Amino acid sequence: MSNNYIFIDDQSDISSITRRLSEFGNVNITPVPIKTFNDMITYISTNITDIDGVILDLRLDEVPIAGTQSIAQYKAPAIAQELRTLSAESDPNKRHLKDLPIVLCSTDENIKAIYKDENASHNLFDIRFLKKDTDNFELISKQLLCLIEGYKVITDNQDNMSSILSIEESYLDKNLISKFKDQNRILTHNIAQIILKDLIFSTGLLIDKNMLIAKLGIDLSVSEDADALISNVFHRAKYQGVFSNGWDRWWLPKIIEIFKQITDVSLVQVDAKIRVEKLVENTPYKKLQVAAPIENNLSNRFWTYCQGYKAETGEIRPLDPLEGFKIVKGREHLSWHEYEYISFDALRNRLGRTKGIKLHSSEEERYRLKKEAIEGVENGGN
Amino acid sequence: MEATKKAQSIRIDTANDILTFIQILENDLDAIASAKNICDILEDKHKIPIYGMTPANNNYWGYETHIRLPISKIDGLKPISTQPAVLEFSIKLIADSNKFNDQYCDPFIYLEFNILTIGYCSSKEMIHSLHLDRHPDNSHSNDPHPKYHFQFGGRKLEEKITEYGQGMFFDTPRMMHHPMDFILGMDFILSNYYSDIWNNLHNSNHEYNSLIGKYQDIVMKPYFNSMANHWNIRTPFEHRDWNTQDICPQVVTRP
Repeated sequence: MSNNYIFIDDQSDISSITRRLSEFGNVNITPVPIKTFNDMITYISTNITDIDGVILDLRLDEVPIAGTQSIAQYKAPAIAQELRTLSAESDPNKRHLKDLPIVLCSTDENIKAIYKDENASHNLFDIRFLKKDTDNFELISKQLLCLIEGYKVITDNQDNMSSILSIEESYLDKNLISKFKDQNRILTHNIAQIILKDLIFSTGLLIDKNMLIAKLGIDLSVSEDADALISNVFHRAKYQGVFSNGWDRWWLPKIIEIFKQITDVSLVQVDAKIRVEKLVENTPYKKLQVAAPIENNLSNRFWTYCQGYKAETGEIRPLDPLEGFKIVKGREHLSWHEYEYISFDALRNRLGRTKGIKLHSSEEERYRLKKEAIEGVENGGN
Repeated sequence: MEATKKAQSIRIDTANDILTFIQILENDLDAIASAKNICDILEDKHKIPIYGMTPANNNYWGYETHIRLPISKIDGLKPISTQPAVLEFSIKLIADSNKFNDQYCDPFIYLEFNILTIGYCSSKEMIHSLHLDRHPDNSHSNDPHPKYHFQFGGRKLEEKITEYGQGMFFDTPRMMHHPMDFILGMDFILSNYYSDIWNNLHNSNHEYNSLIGKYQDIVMKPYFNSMANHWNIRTPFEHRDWNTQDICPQVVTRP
């Protein structure tokens, strides 16, 4: 199976990037210099059998097209949209192109300048990565590969969700099932978007390792057995569907099931102290400690973690959502999603502020009142 | 008039909890979304509830709502050919922020809580009505009324029923039952009338359990504390935080 990406960029220095990404043996990336829009689409069409995926630099309009004095009059989203539309073409007399992964690669500044706040283009790309993120290039190359593999599985399985996600439908939310099945035509990139954006990059049915730690109530910094616990006890809950080789996720309903099976107690009904006690009692992993509530919080019914602490220091500090304050989420909130929260303490200390963590506007009043109440007590007020 | 700071704090926390609760239930019962009006009432610090002839008091806070939930199956329903259609839940409650969330005191000063179920049998409208009321303080009725009691029938039944068949309907017995707010009320309705949803939430939704636990602590605990303490403390009834004889007129002084 070939795994060839083309990398379209106006800059000439990207061959070092494409070479580095290719050296891990996962994917093969060929740099393609910028052309006029027409020539670009023709190039891709003509070579389509050898192209399994497209990586686009965001800005394509800075360096002139080779052999000319003019710069391209379009940027990455324009090509991505044309490719998506060509993959949807159902008129047999018109040009049609196979559906394939489209990835955005750029610099922080460019993404902030023209992409971050422009919502219309966000559904065009499967994933994005930064040119300077060379430390993660091995992981990224793995993710690029699993995008190609995942696209093939989706195309072969159409609306068969349980094959694509590798789980029985009974575990899935009815609105998610509807998203898959109630479409007139199954277009692979649409399904890929749902899986990537609404499952893998969201918390809800699928959770990542940090969220799993928080839901188990464990203090990662002092629990040496945490990783072994997760790998050995909860492996049956690991996500094995498309794209799973690129991102480690676990099915939350299965985590709840496994927990009940081994402890006879319901994860969603008891507090973290009991959760950790039961894990120690019923598994060989004894080096597990329950996390302490964040300062100014009382509850240990942890179900999420503080996004402020995570953004600022990387620490995972478990948090009871009832004590937390909702933050602004990039993506639309769907019925199977969980909100993201910040703790009172992190808000007060402005943690994560410079990293883009922002309090949801509906929570401002609640935060203000709590702050007044706490400061009233601290100042010895009435 | 503006709610006191303490009342505002309670109001906004309660509004947040109720919104979270509604969002959890919306997935299975989208008709519950109309109860979001509770949050609008609570978040407006100028909405001070009043009842009866008592003057407005900015320590008081409360809410009311009326929701209509579709229902298609009820255990043991007679006449057998009746098709259940709607379960209407309405609640109005008022609390004093100085007495709320105290583990020994009555959490509310006013409660009206109605469950009206409507069905159809040979194109006749069939009615079932149940309500949980708080007996007003300083009320002068001759009959003993438990402070919070469930009663079958009532005004709504009388308004809608024209033929009684062979059924008899009266105001008694007044059965003592712990108070319930919107959240506990919905939990009660789910467990009795939508048990699939209730079981699923109990077994898989952490926040649902957290919310129920929190409001059981606030609303149920003082009631049961008073009952339990009846056998522990020996102060005269009228000196206890919550007079157990109010809750259960049947209790007698213990040696």
